[in-house]
Amino acid sequence: MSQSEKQQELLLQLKVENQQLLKFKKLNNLMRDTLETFTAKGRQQSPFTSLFALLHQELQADEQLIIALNDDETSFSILDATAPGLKNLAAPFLHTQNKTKSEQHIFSQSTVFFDLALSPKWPAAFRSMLPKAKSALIQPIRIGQHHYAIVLLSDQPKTFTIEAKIVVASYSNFIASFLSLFENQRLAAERDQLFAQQKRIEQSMVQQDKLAAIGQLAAGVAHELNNPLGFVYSNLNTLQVYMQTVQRFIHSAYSIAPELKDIAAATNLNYILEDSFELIEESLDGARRSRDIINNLRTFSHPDDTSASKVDLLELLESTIRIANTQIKRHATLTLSKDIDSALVNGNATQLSQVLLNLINNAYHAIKHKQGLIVISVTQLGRWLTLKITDNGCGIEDSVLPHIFEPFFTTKDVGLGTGLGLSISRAIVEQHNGCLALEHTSPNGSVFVVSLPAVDTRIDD
Amino acid sequence: MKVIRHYLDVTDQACFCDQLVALEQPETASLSIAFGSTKAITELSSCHYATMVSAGWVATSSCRDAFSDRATESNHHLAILQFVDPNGAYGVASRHSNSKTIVEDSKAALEEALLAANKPGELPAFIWCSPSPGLEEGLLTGIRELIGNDVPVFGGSSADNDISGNWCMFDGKQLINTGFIIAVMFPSVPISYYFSCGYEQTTLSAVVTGVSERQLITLDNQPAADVYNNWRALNRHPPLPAGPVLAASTFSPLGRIVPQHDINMALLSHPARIRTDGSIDLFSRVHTGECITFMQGDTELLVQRAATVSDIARQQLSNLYDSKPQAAIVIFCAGCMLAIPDDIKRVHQGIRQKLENIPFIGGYTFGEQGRFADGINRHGNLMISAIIFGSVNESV
Repeated sequence: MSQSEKQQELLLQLKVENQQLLKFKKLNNLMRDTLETFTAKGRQQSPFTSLFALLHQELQADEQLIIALNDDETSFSILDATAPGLKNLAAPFLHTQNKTKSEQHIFSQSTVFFDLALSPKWPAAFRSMLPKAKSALIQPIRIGQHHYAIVLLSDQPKTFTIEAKIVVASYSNFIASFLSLFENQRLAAERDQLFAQQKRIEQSMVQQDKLAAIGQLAAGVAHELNNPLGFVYSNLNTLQVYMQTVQRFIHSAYSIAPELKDIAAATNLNYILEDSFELIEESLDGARRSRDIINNLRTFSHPDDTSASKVDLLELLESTIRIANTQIKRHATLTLSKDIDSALVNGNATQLSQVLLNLINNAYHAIKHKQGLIVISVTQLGRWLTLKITDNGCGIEDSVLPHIFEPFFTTKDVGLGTGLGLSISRAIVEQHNGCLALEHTSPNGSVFVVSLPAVDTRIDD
Repeated sequence: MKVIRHYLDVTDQACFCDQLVALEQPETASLSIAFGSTKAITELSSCHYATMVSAGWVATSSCRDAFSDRATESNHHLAILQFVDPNGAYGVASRHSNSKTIVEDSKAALEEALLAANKPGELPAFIWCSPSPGLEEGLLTGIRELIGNDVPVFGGSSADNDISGNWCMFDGKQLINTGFIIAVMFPSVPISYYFSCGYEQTTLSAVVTGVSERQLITLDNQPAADVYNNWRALNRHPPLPAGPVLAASTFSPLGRIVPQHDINMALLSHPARIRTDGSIDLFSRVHTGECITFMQGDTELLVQRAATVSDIARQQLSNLYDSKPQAAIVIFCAGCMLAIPDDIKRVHQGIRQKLENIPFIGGYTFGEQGRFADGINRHGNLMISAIIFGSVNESV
C-alpha cells in the first residue's frame, strides 16, 4: 500500500472515528437531557412523555409507544403512547387480539423493520390501529423483573437505520438503569410507608387495648354508678312526694291557725318550700341526665355487640350528638336538621353510633377557628335515608383525597390518629348495605354523606 | 455462535463427499460461505450431503483456487466458513438472472432470503452476495431499492481461470452460472469489514463524456483508449493495442473518485479490452460526468494491502465492538492475483500474520462488492476486502 494511500486511509479512519465520537456526543446529549428532565423538581409530565420528547429530538419518529410485556408472556399492553387514541387503550383489547408467541417475541428483540407490510410478526391490532405506520424500530428494555419495549414508528418505509438502532440500544440501557433507580426509590418509599403503617398499626393496637380497657372500666363504672344513682333518683322522687304532703299539711295548718302565717313569714317558709321543689326538680333533672350518660357509656362499651335490630337513626343521632357535644361545644355549634319524624334502619346501634361519632369528630377536627359550625341533616328519598354532615372547616387537600378511605391513612400527627376512622366507618356502612362518600370539599369545608336503606314499615306492618 | 473453517481437497470426488459428511455438526449450520475452484463448486453441487451440512450455501467459484489460513499444494479446494448460530438468523435465496431483470430479481430474492430467515420486513445486520460478472451493479441497485443503503453488502463475483464464462455458484440446491446468490445475516456476534483499492492515485484525470453500460467511449470528449494510453505514456508504460488488456492493465487501472469526508477514495475499474473504435470495455460500470483518474500499483502494493486491510478490519472489531476475532473472509481480486503469481504466498502470509492466526477463507474474484466509510455499497474491480466475525458474549 502506497504511503499516500496509507495516509489517506488513516485520515479516513480518523474521520470515521470523529463520526463515531459525534454519535456518542449525540448519545451523551440525550442522556444529559434525560437526567435533567427526570430530575427536574416539580416535573409534571410522566416519565414516558419526557422520554418521547427526547427521542423525538434525535430520531424522526411519527409515533412512539411503550409496550409492557405481561408476566404471563403471552400478551402485552400499551403503557403509554404519543398517539392519544392508544394512550389509555384497555389492555384486554390487546390481550384478546395478540396471543401468538411470534407477535409477542418481536418486542423482546432489538429490531429495525424497513417495511412493516412485509412482516407477519407485526401485531394485527397495531396494523388496524396504526394503518399509517410503514417502518419501525423496536428496542426492548428490562427493568428488574419487568419487560418493556420502546417502539418508534414512521409513516415512511426505510426510516430507521442500524445506527439509530445502536443509539436507541445504548440509550435504552441508560433509561433502564435510570428507571431502575426510580423503581428502587419507589420501592424504598413504599417500604418506608409500610414501616409507618406498621407503626400506626402497633400504635392503634395499643390504642385499641386502651380503649378496650377504658370501655371495660366505663362499663364497670356505669354499672356501679347506676345503683346509687337509682337510690338518688328514687329518693328524690319520694322526697318530692313527701314535700307535696308537707306543703298540703302547712296549708291546712294555716286555715286552722292563721297566726302561723306570721311565723312562717318570719322564717321565710314559703320561699323555702317553693325553692325546695325547684331544687328537687333540678336534682331529678341532673339524675336523669346522669342516667342518660351512663346509658350511653354502656352502649359504647360493648364493641363486640354486632347483633342487628331496628334502630331509629334520629334517636341514635341525638344520643351521639349529646356525647360529641361535650367536646365540640367549646369551638363549634352542632345543629340537627330533619324533615322526618323517624328514620328506622336495620342495623347495629353501637356500630352506627361509631360511624356517626367518627364523622362528627372528623368534622370537628377540620375546624381550626372559633366559629365552627357542624350541620347534620337527615332526609329520606324513597327507601333511602340520607344523612349529611357538613362542616365549615379547612377541607381536604387534593393530594390526600384519593387516600382518605384507605386504612391507616391519616393527616394527623403520629399518635393523634389511627387512620382507621373513615375506613372502618365505610366498612360498617357497607355492611349495612349503605354507602359512605365525600360529597364535596373545599377550603371552606366538607360534606360527607351516609346513605342507608330505610326499614320498609309496610312489610313490618 | 461458532464459525468453523474447513479446507477440503476436491481432487477426488468420493473422498470429497466423505470429507463433507464428516463436517456435519450436532446442530445444522445456518449458513456456509465457501470459495473453491470451478471444479470444487461443481463437485459440491453434485454431492447430496451438502444440504445436511448446512441449511444454506453461498459457494462461489474462484479464479484458480480458493485460499485459507491453511496452506496446501494441490489446485482444487473448497474453503468453507460454517456458521452455527442458534441465537442468530440466516436466510439464503438465489436467482438465475440477466442484465434486464437483475434489479427486480435482486429485490425478490432479498425478500425471499428474509423470509427464509423468518425476518420478513426486518433490516439484516449484514448481506453477503455472490453475483456472476456483469450483474453486480443491478444486484446492488435492487438491494438499495428494497432496504436502502443502510446494510453493509459484501461479496465477490464468481470467477473462472480464463474469463471463459465457466464461473459458477451453488446455493445448496442449484448450480447457477448467470445469476446470483444472496444471504441475509442476523448474527449473534459483531461483524467488522474494510474495503480498499490499495492503488495510488495520480494527478491524471478526466471526466466521463461517453459511456454505454460497461463500455467507456470517451473521456473529456476524446476516445477513451487515446486518453488512457496517453496517461500510460506519461507514466512510462507502453501503450496498449486493441484487444484484451486485462493482465496488462492490472498495475494501471482507472479509478472512479468517490469523495467522502473531504477525502477522495478511488473505486477501481479494470480495463478488460480495448476496442478498435477507441472505446474501452471495463469490468465495472462508470457514469457520465464522473471523474476518472489514472491509478498506479506495483507488486509490493498488492502484496502488502491484503495484510493492511485485514489489520484495519481487525482493529475496527476491537475498537468498535471490543470483540475478539473468530474467523474472517478475505476477497482478493483475481486480476491482482494473476499479476503477482509468484508472490501470492506472501499475501497469504501477511493476512495470517495480521489476523493473528485466526481461521480465514478467501477467493480470487472477478469483481468485489463492499462499502467505504461513506456507507454506500459499491461494486469495484481490483479491490480487496476483509470481513471479520467477532466472538460471542460481546456487544453486537
